[in-house]
Amino acid sequence: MDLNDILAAVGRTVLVYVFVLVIIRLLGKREIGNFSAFDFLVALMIGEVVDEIIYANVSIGMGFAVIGAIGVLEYVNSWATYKSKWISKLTSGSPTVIIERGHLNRRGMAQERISEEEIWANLRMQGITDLKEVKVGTIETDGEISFVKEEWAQEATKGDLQHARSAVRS
Amino acid sequence: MPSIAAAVCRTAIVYFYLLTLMRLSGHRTIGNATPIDFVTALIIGDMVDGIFFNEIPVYQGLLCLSVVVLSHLLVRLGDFYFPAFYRLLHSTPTPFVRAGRWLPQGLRAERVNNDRVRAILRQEGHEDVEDVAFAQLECGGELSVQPVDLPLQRKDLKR
Repeated sequence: MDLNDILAAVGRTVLVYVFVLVIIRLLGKREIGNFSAFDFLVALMIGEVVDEIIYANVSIGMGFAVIGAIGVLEYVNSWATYKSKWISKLTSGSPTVIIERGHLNRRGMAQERISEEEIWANLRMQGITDLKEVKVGTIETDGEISFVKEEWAQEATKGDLQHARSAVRS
Repeated sequence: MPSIAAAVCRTAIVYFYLLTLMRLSGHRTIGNATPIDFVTALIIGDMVDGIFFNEIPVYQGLLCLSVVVLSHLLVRLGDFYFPAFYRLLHSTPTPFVRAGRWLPQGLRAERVNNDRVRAILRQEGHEDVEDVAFAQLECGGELSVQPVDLPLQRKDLKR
């Protein structure tokens, strides 16, 4: 490998890096910040294309065309999901309830194939040790699990303290 | 030029095919919830560029992608229907702290020293283990922490 090859590789690397930076910037925050499983895959896909360009396995034009295509598809996909509830449902599905009023919802669990142990691990990570505290537990469309606590189990606020104080006084 | 157009077409085909596969296999199938999910995602990411650049025929690539997703789905099904399989694959949570005390055998089993755990506890706002009722390493690799002194809940004020 002579100096020219090395310089060419460095040049390609810089070029691709800047190009990917621009694509990601154009896609906006949503795609990269709030990863859904599929957005994560898309990021990995871009990463795999990049090394082919850097090592000159494919031409720069070809590589850029493919990364550009991925970017456009992501953009169209998120735009369509935003514009139409129907498409949103088609591509990302709808949330599934796995806990209701302190009880496990077996049907939702089977639908998402989530085991009781996995739910418990998620509860513990959010500091919940009693299932009764959970009003609704949902698997969101991005695969994250959200728990909404019962009113009595929610963290007390300054407003609650004030109410309690005035109740004691009167 | 036609080869670039063909590459763009192949990219679009793979994109929509994967979107469909992911949708059919459920929300949580591939992502970063567990180490196995993560590795599966990496494998899929690594497979697609061969299709984009025509290193392998499209039909073969799509077939292999389906096989990977299907295998992962079977593992997921095994997880769900056989708790023993789940424990075998993901192991069980390892306790590090109980009632404000270190559990050295847990730390040893996971090859984590207590300075690393202290760092995580500090990030959660606990000065040292004395404040922690219980901390354990969950299967996904995250630490779950329960403090000795629990935060105030609304029911506590109603009494």
